[in-house]
Amino acid sequence: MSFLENLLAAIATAPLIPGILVMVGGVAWGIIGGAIPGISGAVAMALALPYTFGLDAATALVLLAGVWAGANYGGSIPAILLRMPGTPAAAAAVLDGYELKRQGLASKALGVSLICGTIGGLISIIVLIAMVVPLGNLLLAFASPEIFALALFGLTLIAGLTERSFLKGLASGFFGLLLTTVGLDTLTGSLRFTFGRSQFLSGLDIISVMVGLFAVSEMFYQISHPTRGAPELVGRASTAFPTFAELRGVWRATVVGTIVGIIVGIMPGAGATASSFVAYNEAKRWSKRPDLFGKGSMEGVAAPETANNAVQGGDLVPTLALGIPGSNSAAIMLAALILHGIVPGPFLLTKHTGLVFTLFAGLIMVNLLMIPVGTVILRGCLLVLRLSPPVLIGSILAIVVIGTYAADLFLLNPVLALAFGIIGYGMRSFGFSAAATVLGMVLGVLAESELRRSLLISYGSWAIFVTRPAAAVLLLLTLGVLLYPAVMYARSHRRARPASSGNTAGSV
Amino acid sequence: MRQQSMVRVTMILAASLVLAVSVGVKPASPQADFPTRPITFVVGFAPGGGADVFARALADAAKGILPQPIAIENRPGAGGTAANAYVVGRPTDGYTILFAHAGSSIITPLITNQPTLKWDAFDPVARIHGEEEWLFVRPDSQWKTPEELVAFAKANPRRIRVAGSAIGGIDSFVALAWEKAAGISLQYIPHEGGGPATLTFLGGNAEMLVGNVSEVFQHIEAKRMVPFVVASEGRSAIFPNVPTLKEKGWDVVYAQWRSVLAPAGTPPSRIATLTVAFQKALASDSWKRFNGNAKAVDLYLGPADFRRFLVNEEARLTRIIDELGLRRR
Repeated sequence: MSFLENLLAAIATAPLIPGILVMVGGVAWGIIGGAIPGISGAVAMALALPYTFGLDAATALVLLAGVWAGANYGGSIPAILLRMPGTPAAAAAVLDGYELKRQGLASKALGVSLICGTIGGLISIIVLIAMVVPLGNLLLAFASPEIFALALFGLTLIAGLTERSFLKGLASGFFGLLLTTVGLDTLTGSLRFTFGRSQFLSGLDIISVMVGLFAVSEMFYQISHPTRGAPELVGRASTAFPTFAELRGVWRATVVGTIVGIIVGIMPGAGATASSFVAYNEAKRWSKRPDLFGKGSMEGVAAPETANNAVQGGDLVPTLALGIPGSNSAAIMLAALILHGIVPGPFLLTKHTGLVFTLFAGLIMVNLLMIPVGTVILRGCLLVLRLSPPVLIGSILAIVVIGTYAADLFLLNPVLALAFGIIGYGMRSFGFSAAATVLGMVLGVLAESELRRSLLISYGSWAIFVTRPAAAVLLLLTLGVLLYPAVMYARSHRRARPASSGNTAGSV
Repeated sequence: MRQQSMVRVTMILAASLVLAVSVGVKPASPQADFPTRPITFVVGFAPGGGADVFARALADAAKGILPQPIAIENRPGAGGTAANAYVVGRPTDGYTILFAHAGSSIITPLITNQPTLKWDAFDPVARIHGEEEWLFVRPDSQWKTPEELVAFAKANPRRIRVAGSAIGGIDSFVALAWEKAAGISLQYIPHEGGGPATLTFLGGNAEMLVGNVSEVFQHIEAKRMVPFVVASEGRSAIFPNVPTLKEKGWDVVYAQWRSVLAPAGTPPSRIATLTVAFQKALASDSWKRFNGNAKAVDLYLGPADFRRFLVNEEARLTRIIDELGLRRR
């Protein structure tokens, strides 16, 4: 097994102490950067990139891998503590994470996110190491029709996000889809809803909208409902980590999250954010307690957080096998290679075997370092829970304004965040779902452009979605998922009132 | 390896410190009054993108030529024009310069109707380099020559699928201009960038790919695609056996060029200092190696020639943008 020998050699020859210091620094910066709204994983890596010039290629890659892994986790800290996703990929963690925090279980949710995320990251790296070449060939079978089908599959989650009114959920989702149409349309080059302002050219900044809909609206809600809001905000801040039994309780969601993360990661164009929502939806379907989802389910935190970490391995498949970055974060890794004079492409694995294996070894170590580094940072973050509501609300609004401004230095972004805070407040008051809007926005971009591109590839024929096996299977699953509740509903009404809680495995 | 580079960094730091001090002490010579502090090189795209990578390599190559370092500042957004707006508002003292290409300095300002952010709001410093625009086919392609392909396309309009980057980018202009020149119509499939377009092509979902060699060189080596025809003025040094569109009788000449601009009104003497520095940087080994690795070609032009080039480039890009109906009215 020369593969294993290479890996061991890479680990053995890695300069241990400086290497680990670099990794710890990378992971710590990644977690902190990821936790700041406006600094996504790719931005955190980009900010670190200039500091890698003085390093050799291997150390630079390992440092960036650390930032990447850290940011995947970091985004969930404010998502769980403050309902403020630090990165788009952490938006799904808001759904149950913040509910858990309101129940005084913030540290448990953060612990689940950290541990399950690490497991997902590690498994995906191992899959990457073992199968990078075959997976690289497999991914060429995924093209626009498959990605469109995946986006549609993910959008079925809208049905699960709104229990009271399906119509309002659908309206919220469509509002999100509508928001994605703003900007320069890459397929025709025409401008849509930019109102003559160049800031709208690249579309609405998704993190500003998310932070507005989730965090700012929550702050407005707490300001207007102080008596009910205050005890929630302070919480009965327990700092206990999840117990082994609790972790065992989420194994199913972790497995689902890992599988979804790897597959979605390999699919070109689909990324961590899409994977976390799809994983949330699937974990709910496979869960023994789907009724808890949305009301503070540990599984509802474990699945998306595992998935967005597991995307890392999948993203690197096209990056290493074909030299085509699987995501913005992977693109920064490629840039680091190019800046060090290494040309990425299908020969990277054979021409620079040593370097690639150092990267593999680094990825494993970086994911292992997540637990200690994450724990230390997490402990510090939990102190937030001790702040009094006025101080906390004021600080959060300040962070929102600074964070969303700092990313692009556009004044438009903090304005967007505040405006969507008001919209989110209104949606909440009238029973609409902010989460469905975010989901529509995340998957809408994919769904629209991939649908139109599929139809260009097929010369306008819709048959492309049934003649391509992978797309057909995904669309059949989507149809099944949509029809299943209706069928169950019809059946339960034909029988004479069966036990309504006997909601057996809703798998497809 | 690491120790070496650490030593190098330390030495560079020490050297620049010594230089910084000596510049302050030395009696003023013509070169010494500019630059006396670091120059800000603004890039309109995020770190790690194509533009950013080349800007950094260029700044690195200019190290030691100018007495002061060139620091990269990324101002991404609005298709690169956010950086234009930033640089236009900076003092015209030569300490802020912009890394610009056709997209950010001509196409996007035209499409979005922002004449104040177009290239003529700046003074040209130098055109630096560029990447040729190629059309690729699969090794088992049924067309062996461009003529065969054009004959097929005439008989079968919109059957040949061409994967490329977004409409409004140079890739799409190459395809469109060839359609016009040859009287054919192709099925252009736009993507968010060259990477996704390459995946569509490699997956067998398009017959042709339009783009730069840098992104696909290893796929050519791996015999997954072959260069078919190039949209350059003369034959390319990279694949000299591949014909140009022009020699086949279709006047389609496009390249992705990159350049340096300064805000309009910058003193000509300072622009001259910068131009000379970049010209020397382009001759350095580090730049040549980097440029060669990236399969890019030198396209150096001084301020006067570059200005003439920009006037022509704007005129012909305006025509194609209007043909595509991309301009806001």
